[in-house]
Amino acid sequence: MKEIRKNARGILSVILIAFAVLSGYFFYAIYAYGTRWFTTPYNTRLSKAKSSVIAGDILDRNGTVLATTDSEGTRTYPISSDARKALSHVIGDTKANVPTGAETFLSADLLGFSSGIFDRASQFFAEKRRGSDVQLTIDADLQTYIADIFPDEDNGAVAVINYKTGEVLSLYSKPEYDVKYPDDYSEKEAEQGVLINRATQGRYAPGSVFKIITLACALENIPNVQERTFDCEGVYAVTEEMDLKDTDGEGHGELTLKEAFTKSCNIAFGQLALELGEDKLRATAERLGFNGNFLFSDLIVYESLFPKSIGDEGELAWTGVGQGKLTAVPLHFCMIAGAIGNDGMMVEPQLVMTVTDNAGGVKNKLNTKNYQQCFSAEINSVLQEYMIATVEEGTGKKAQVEGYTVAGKTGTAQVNSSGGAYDPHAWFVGYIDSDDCPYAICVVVENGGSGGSVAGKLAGKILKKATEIVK
Amino acid sequence: MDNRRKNTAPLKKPDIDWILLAMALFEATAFVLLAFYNGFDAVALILAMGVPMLLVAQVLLLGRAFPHLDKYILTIANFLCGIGLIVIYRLSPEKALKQLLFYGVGVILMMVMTAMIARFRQWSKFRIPLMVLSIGSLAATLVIGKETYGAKNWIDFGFFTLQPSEFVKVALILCLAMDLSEKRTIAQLVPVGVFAMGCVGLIVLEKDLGAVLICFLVCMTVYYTATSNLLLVLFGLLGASGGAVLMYKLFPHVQTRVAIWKDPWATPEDGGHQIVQSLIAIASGGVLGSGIGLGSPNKVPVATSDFIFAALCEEFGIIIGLVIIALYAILFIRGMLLAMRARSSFHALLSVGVITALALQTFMIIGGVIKMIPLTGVTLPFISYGGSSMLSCMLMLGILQGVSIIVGEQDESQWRMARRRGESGL
Repeated sequence: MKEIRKNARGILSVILIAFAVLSGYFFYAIYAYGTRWFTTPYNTRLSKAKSSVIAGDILDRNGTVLATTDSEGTRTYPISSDARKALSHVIGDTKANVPTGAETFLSADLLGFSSGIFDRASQFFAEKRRGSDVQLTIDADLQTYIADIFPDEDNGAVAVINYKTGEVLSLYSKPEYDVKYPDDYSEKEAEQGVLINRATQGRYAPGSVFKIITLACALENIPNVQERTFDCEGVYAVTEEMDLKDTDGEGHGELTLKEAFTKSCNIAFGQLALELGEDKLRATAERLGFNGNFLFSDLIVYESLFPKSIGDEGELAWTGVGQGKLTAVPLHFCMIAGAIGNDGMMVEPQLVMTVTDNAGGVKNKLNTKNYQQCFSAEINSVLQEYMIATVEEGTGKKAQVEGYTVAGKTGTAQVNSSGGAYDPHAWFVGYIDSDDCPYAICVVVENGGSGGSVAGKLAGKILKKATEIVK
Repeated sequence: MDNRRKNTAPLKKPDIDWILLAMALFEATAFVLLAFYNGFDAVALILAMGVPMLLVAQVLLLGRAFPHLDKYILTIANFLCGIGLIVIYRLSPEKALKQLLFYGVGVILMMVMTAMIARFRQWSKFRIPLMVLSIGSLAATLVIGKETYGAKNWIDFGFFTLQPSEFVKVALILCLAMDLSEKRTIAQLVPVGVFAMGCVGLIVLEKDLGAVLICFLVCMTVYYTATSNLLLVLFGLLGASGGAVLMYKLFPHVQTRVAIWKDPWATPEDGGHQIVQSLIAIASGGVLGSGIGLGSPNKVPVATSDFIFAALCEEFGIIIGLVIIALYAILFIRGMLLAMRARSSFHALLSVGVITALALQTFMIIGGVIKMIPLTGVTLPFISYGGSSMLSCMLMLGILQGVSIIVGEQDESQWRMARRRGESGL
């Protein structure tokens, strides 16, 4: 009998542990995925609620109303048509064709699913319930300005965040669509994925902006790498079939590590990647969020991808300079640049500032959450120094902003397409080194040409505007 | 340990009247809200009185009449039945009335079972008939049964349908406890071993995966409790895992099931439909729920039986979902305490068997509905709609209460004896 008693106790322990795990998983799953499950197009409750509930307003950080519902129940956008188009991906349509847009992803608030007991009670006798108003962290003026100066012929994306708080100031994606006429786009635009918000979901070849990660990995794993010099002749044979080339092919001559970074020398960084090996490179990349699963509460952000396996040495060398099978998401790279500005700490992006229910209750949704300490203090200060030098004297000179210290890295990503030769994607990622204007930026101009002269120049203008208008 | 004290002091009867009152009020409020939500509904108003009355009356009257009943177990089980009725009524009043009938019959069955366990001493007489009836009914299901959701586990009697595997579960627990409490040599265990394997085998043929898993693991657990033979149990589990892998390789529908579990969103309107809608329902309710009558739990497939937990979470909120998980945990703790206090191994093994079966079933269906584990179609004990399920749960509840009475009486007589001894010592 003693045995039986002991065994019964053991079985009870197993049962209780299993139920503790069950409750824990239940709580975690809802916390992490609840909004994502709720806002899928398969949730018929949303479309039902849209006919029975008046959706709340969407405002920008300065209180400008971006979307509201008029007395007849139709959704209207009381901003200029340029602003409306610029902000369409952020607002999102009411039919959930842009599932990452605020109209859909924040519908729990807008349609009043998340409103409190008092709000519900106060609307008990109302003919039609009304949802809560949502104020975004987006600066509508800044985003309209970005749309205005973005190269007319090119597509691309821009992300601007406050890297200390995580507030997302702009998420611009081109080709634009018009939220007022959500079905009104050409077949060609549909093919290009006009409804995708490229700032959060676009996966591009990163090119040389990835050298930030190769550099961080080298600083972490190779002792005294800063004292090294590299000899660049413009071409370097990795294997018999695969040469590593610089963009212009002229050769940089003898370089220190810092010069190799500011001049964006492929030869030096390809060699570093070969020395590090794919495992170390992958480990650093994954620590920064590559191949991860971002579950931010306010917005959907796709993760950048580092290949699961790299074929040969040639591909490894190219991966080290940001080519190969790497893909990068603009907002993610904006967060990486921001982390460097924020002493190595990456913060979660936040899109919702306040939620105001009908009873007048204002919920402040801004609470800065640390995502990941990306770099140690020493390594981070080297990264800062190199990125500042890149803008001061290297490839990123065009991104300078008068009166501020800007740090950054340019990228000119080769795109191979069967359709023939395309211009490379122009990249700039960087941040303003300032306590008053702690803004990080990522600019991608598809097939835009040189990173420094196209993306860098654009980034400089946008950052300057941001320092002037963002409050 | 101070064994003497533990054995002689009668367990303090806890005062749970205020919890009972809260539970009764919860049920009454829910039915009153249902009565006035979509126009006036008199039936719901009657239920608002009746269902809490059933709960309170049972706990107070039965508890008074049989002081050794476990009030915690009785209260929790009846409250869970009540919650089930509320959710089912909200989804389909017609089904709820049927369920109420089963609940009533179930309460009578429970009392009969309680009395039998507590008073009837010659269980070995039932051994052979139970085994024959179990095997017979399972075999009959295979021949004349009807298929739902891929499993052939129902017998249709026209005016009602029966799921024999639910009752075989109870018979299995009784037979295992009988034989394993007395006979210990391998040779003596052959009949019950063959019986157990026969049951599991036949349910495998019915393709009722959930029931297979429950019966098999109940056998293993009761066997382990009785013999402490961990080696054989591990061997058995290993064999079963091998069998599971084999089934996965052989049967495409098992592969589909696992694929759906891994990523239901890949087939949201097809194979993954049930899980996807379940997750959406839970997420739509949020922490506090939409409020009764204000959600759309009818969007969840099979919302009254397998997916009732999702329907419940949508309108009552995750918070009530967690409370229900906690109530089950308390029920299992109380049941296992009975096993630990029992003086005969038959009664200890009975409790272990019942608790294992109920806990497994609860874990499997809640885990499946929230996509923690692959879904196996079993009911949520006491809550889900279904006559066979309700009756078998009530029978198991009766077993627990019977054991509770025996344990209580033993404790009390020992305490009296000890006190007498103490008095004469003075």
